[in-house]
Amino acid sequence: MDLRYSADDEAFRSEVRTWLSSAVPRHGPPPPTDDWPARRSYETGWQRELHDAGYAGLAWPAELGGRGLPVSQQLVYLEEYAAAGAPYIGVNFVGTMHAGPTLIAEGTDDQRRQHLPRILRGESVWCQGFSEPHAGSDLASLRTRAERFGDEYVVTGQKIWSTRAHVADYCELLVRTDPHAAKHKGITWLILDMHQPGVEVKQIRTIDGDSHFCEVFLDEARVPVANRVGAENDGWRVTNVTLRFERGTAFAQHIITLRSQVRKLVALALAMAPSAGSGAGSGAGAVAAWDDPGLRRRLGGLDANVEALWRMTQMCISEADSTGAPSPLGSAVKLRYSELGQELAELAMRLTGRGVVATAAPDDAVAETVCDYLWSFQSTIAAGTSQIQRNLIAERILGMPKGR
Amino acid sequence: MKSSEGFAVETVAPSIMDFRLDDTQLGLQETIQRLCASRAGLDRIGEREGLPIDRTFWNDLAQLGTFSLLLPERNGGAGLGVVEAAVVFEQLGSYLTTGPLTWTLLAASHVAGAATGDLLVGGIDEATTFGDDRLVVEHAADLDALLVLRSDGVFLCAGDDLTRPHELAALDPLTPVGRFDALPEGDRVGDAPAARHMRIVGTALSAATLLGVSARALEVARTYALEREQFGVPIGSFQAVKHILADMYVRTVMARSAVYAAAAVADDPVAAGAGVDPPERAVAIAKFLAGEAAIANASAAIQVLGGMGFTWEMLPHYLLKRAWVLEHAFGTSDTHALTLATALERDVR
Repeated sequence: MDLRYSADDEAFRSEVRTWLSSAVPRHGPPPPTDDWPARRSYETGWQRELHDAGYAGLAWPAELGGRGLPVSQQLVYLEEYAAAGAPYIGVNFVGTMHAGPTLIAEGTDDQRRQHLPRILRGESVWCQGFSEPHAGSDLASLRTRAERFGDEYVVTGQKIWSTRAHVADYCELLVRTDPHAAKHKGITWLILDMHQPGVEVKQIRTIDGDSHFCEVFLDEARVPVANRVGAENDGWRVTNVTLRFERGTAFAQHIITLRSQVRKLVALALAMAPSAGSGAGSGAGAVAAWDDPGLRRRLGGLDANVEALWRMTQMCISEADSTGAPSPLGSAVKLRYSELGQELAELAMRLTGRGVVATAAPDDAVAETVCDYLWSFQSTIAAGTSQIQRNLIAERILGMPKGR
Repeated sequence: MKSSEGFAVETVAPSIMDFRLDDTQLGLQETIQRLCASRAGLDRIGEREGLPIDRTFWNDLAQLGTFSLLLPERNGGAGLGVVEAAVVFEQLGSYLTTGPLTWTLLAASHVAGAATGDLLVGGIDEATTFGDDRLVVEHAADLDALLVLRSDGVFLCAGDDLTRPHELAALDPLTPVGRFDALPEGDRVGDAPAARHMRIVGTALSAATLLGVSARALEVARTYALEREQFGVPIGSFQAVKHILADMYVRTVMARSAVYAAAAVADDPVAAGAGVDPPERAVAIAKFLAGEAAIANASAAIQVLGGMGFTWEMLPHYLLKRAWVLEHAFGTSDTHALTLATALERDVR
């Protein structure tokens, strides 16, 4: 056991910190949340800056345009990235965290040459076409059909929960190529060009009022056979390569931001008088919420959980790195992260007080608190619900029999 | 290396960001586990009730180097660190090993005879214990000496100076507790930094022991869920039971991450990447999570074992009671949460 960062890691840390301290303010504040073209260009522009400064594809092999950094430096990077309040990678998420790594692991040389450099430079945006209206937790029951005619697949069906599909150029698409095979055996992984007839995208308005998620309707959309990743009907295995990223390293960047969320809550508690409900009233006699020992204990406890979760994330990532297989800790990391994030978001609602019932401006701090709170509900549903994660832990790690 | 049967010490080339136990640590784990299983196994735990501490077993623990782990080799120790001690104490916790284990280890550097198992040393930390609670000491009647951690230093009260304790009705059937009428001043055997260091190590090792209790509770519940059948199937095939077990697992791995990180920080704050993590903060995190995990997991084990879990015969109540004894040593979860809050406030202001 050795938890230290090496001298090289620390040198890398100061290099990253220096660059972020000038690049983040230079890139400016994000555009309004409802201006999606502006959001795409803000986020891809940031990806381009990361690329030009040498911070794109840190985990990717150097021969494919990445940096090939050791995991310790990827973790250092995430720590500094969160501490600097750098822009969320947003529209670049699927490309850099899912599709890119899948092409690296399973793609052909042509596919890698065509896509990887553009993902790294922020020139192409990807979305995910996995879930369907009838295939949520039971993803392998998906029905979107692809039939092969010559050197093309013709795809018809419907996808849902495709994040930011309305601003995407490509979709990592799961289709059924053999309807007669067992459900896991008839699935194929395709690269779908979103800019073509037969692809219709409809945004879904979610409880936070935003529209990240989309439905994608496919009506005889065309995919060249050359865009197939892995063998026909071998898509479930290819998918699991992607899901491994989703349950492992991809969460790390969110988890590290919980640290600054805890500190934000402390600052809020120090600034806020108790809410009207406490009966203490406001004015001269009001005391800061921070003076309540019960609240201090709660925040201290949340801090303990956040720090331990970051250690567990480090453990999960370094374990996956040393064994080459995903760590069984992945489900525990995802489960704890999503529930802890919700707890923090709910506490922010309480501390903010009556302000949450009506915000003065669409993008002020209170609106952000409300938005974060409502958005946090997706985290225990997306990428395997908390219930699915608990089943996975009980069955795969603790060896409980499958059943209901 | 202490003796031919003791903990072997090897130099291992440092690797970077590696959470795996190295060969030395795995060796320690196996050695202590084997000893506990053969000499104080959990299957006959009821027979240990009401008996004085098994001094033969205690001597065997000492022979293995349990109490001298942290002493430098020139002083007859193993020259190992808090991480290695945490590995050992996690195992001791999981076997509900009886006796003032943490305090005897802490005393090894100040009291001749503690490291060798000849003397049983108990203790009290006055910084985290208040009022008359300071007079309540585990294993009081069996102690040869008592260490007291005060803000200005470490004080040693020899057995002769201690009044005879009043035996109390103990919560944990395996941890007798006594109350002294008063604590003597004692001899000052260490300065304030020494007291601070002992408090850090003691907190880390109490957390490691609690981690062992949590892991054992999970194991007991898991085994029962696989064996016990209702409605014609093992109860572990029901999602309602699976989800209890999954939460027990998550609490255990969270506590484990925090305990070993804290142990590494206690060994070397700089090397463990603890720029913002002074040892007090790291051990507070560990003790908070391990305390909560042990109590919650032991409680959950009672629930999973159903009616059997409510009986004296089964293990869960021993685990729960030991968890509470440890929860109230070296600061409760509440105390540590407040410590963390104070550190956060400093950070934010």
